[in-house]
This record gives sequence, C-alpha cells and structure tokens, in this order.
Amino acid sequence: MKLELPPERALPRAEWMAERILAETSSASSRKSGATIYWIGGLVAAAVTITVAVIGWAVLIPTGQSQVGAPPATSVEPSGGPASTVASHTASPLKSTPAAASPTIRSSGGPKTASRTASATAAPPRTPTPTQSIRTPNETTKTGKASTPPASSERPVTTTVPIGVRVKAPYLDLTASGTMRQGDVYAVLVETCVRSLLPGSSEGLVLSRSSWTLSTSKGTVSAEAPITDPISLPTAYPEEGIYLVGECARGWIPFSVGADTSVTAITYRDSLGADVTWNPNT
Amino acid sequence: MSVGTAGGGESDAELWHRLRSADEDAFRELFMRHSTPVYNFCFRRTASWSVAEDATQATFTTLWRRAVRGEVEALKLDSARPALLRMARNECSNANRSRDRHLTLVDRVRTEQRPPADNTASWVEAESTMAVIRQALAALPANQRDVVELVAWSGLSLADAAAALKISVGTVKSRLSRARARLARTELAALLEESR
Repeated sequence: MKLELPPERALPRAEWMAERILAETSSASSRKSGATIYWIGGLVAAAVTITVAVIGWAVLIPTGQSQVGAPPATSVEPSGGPASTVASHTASPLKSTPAAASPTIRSSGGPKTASRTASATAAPPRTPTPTQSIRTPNETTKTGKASTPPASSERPVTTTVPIGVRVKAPYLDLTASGTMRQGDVYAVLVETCVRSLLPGSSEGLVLSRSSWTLSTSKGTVSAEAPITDPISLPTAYPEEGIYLVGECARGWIPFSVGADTSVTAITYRDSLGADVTWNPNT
Repeated sequence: MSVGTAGGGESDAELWHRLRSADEDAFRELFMRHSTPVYNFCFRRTASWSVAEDATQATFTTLWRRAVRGEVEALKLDSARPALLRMARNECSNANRSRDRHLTLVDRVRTEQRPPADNTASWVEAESTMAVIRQALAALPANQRDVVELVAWSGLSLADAAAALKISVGTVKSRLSRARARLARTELAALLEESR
C-alpha cells in the first residue's frame, strides 16, 4: 500500500483571519490602555472634586450664609438647571428619538444618575459628597452658570466622511473601515469605542448593532433585518453590550441587500447626538 | 527556496524588519505569504483541518502580539518561513493537547467556518489519510519526525530546517537519513523521498 500526502489547501478566508488577528489584538490593547486611562482619570476627577468641595465649604463658613437653606427664589432655577441637564442626557434619549424604541444606545446607569442628582438638589446633606458639592445652589448662584451643561456633556455630531475615517462623536469614536459583498449580503467592518461616559454615569454605555444602517438604492436596510443566505464572518460585531471608557465593539455587521442593489451610505445614528455617514464608494 | 521574496514585493527580511515595529501592513503581507504553508504544515502535524486552522491563527496571533510588545527577534535568514514553522510547531503541539478537551467546540467551529461550497467528503478523506500517515510516522522518534515534516513535507532546505529547529545542518542531515532508513520498507518511504 502506498500512501500519499493529501493535497495542500489554501487557508480559508486568509484576509479575514489577518484582519481578525489585528482587530483582536488592537482591541485588547485598547481595553488595557483604556482601563488605565479610566482609573487615572477617575483619580484626577476625585481629587479635583474634593478640592472644590473643601474650598466651597470654606467659603460658606466665614460668611455665615447657609446656602443649603438658600431662599427658593435663588435656589430653584440653579438647582433645577444641573439636575434637568443631567436627566436630559440620561433619560431623554430613550424617549425622544425613534431609534430609542429599540435598544440603540443608552446609559446603563441613567435612571440612577437622574435620581441621585435630583435628591441632592432637593435636600443637600450637611456633609456634601464630592458630586453633590459641585451641584449645590451655593455654587451655581456664585458662578451664575446653573444652566451650563456638565463639562462632560458633548455636542451632537452630524457628518459625512469617506470610508475608513474615524469620527469623534458624542461619547464615542466611530469607524467604518471596510466592506465586503457576498451574494445578497453586504458586510461592513465597524468599530465603536467609548471615549467618555454620560455625566454622573459609571456603569458604561450600551452599544448595539442596531445603531448601524445601510442606505441603498432601494432604501434603508437595518442590521436587524433577517438574512436569508448567511455568510461566515471572522469577527461579528456584538449584538449588544455594555462598554466602559476605552473599550471598543468591533467586527463585521452583515446586511441583507439584493444582489443588484447598490450601497450608497453606511450610517451610525444614536440617541446621544451621533449621526455619522460613511461613503463606501470613496 | 524563493519564499524570501515571493510575490515580487518586499523581501521577507524587509517585511520582518517592519513587523518588529508593529507595522500592520508588513504583518498582512507576511500573513498572506506564509499562512497557507503554515496551515498545511499544521494539518500534517495534526491531521485535522480545523485544528490546523486554529493553530495557524494562534501562530500569527502570537507573532503579532510579540510585534506589538516589541519582542520579535531579528530574522537571521532570508525567509521568514523557518521561524514561522518553528512557532507553528509549538502551536500545533498545544492544539493537539487541547484537541480532545475542546472536541465539541472544534466541531462546532469547523461546521461554522467551512465554506458551504466545499467538498466535505474530500476534507474527511484527507484527514483520514493524514491520520494513517501520522500513525505510521509515530514509529520514528520525535526529533526525526520534526525533520521529516520540515524538509520532506514542507520543503525547507537543510539550513532552514536547522535554523527552525535550532540544531546544526549536520544533525538535520543525519536525522533525515536515519528516518529514511527506518521507513525505507514501509508505505511511507515515498513520502520521505519527495521534495515538497
């Protein structure tokens, strides 16, 4: 009996595997550095907040003013300012946008943040916590910036860019870096990285695949549309998950499009102000 | 061997040099150039396409992680293949050890990743044949098997195989000679003579 070595085969989907290795490794290092930044940032923020609290408390004592029990005329508007601002950043996106009906993006700590801020304004304790000290009526009255949004709130971003461009959106860095077509399926390689959290939140952001859509010659296609002829993807973008600062969701999202349908845009849209479109034909 | 400059682009040495600075393009090019030989080398060591695919990915993942950490050693030869096959050898051994424990997972991955149009029967037949060859090859000591796999089956030169195994060329030559002598009257004899 004479044996023969089986014929050699080409490695299946070699390009995908290479991209997968690069993606997973960069994601891991991003998580690591992100975690470091998160902790350092947290320590710095805590130090600054404590300093502000101590200074604010020291100012109160010599003047003899009890800003905790300040007159309603001066305390209502300022105290309502920050509280409503925070609440609008956490709760309203879920209510005000159509996309929010499906789990697009939200603060997992949203309701807690809103209630925490409201109770602090209504009845500030004698020994303010660092967060509460920033939001006391005393300070807002002094600065006159009661309605100023918290420093970490971000402006909405609406833009159109070529494929491959990284976009800084509110709280997130977004990239659509590649496309692939196989039969009726059009897949997009995307990355969503959490750059910061909603004010007062510490529990991360929920990132969802449903924030991504395609514009085609036959209309808009959702990532949630069923795919009749599935294809293998090396790294699928997660359906949904909670991500902290520095963490990224990355991978391919398959869309069901007709074979004769042209794709004109890849869009990320969430309820926190991101409306970003990549042109896949540039 | 001409793998050092396969594709007509940069040489392996140039790409490897860039890889040491974590250059993604260099990694991609090296991957496209050598992943299939690594894959087939792993298949011949494991007799499983899916385990070979996992081991190939593990090999290049290890390489890229080292590159990111700045831990890739300088290339001493013109070709990167000996260094990659040496890494693959370790990954294949790991994959073989864990294969039984992860059999269920491997089967699932294989089912998911196999291209739908592929001929499943030929995959299974190749694995069966390779398993028989592995069984026959088990008559050799491990160090002689290594030489057979690198020189006779993967086409490395004696010098490249020596570099991959970190032994002298003379040792490679003597091990290959002993392996051939030992298997001369078996069904594997032809497989040791061919240059692949």
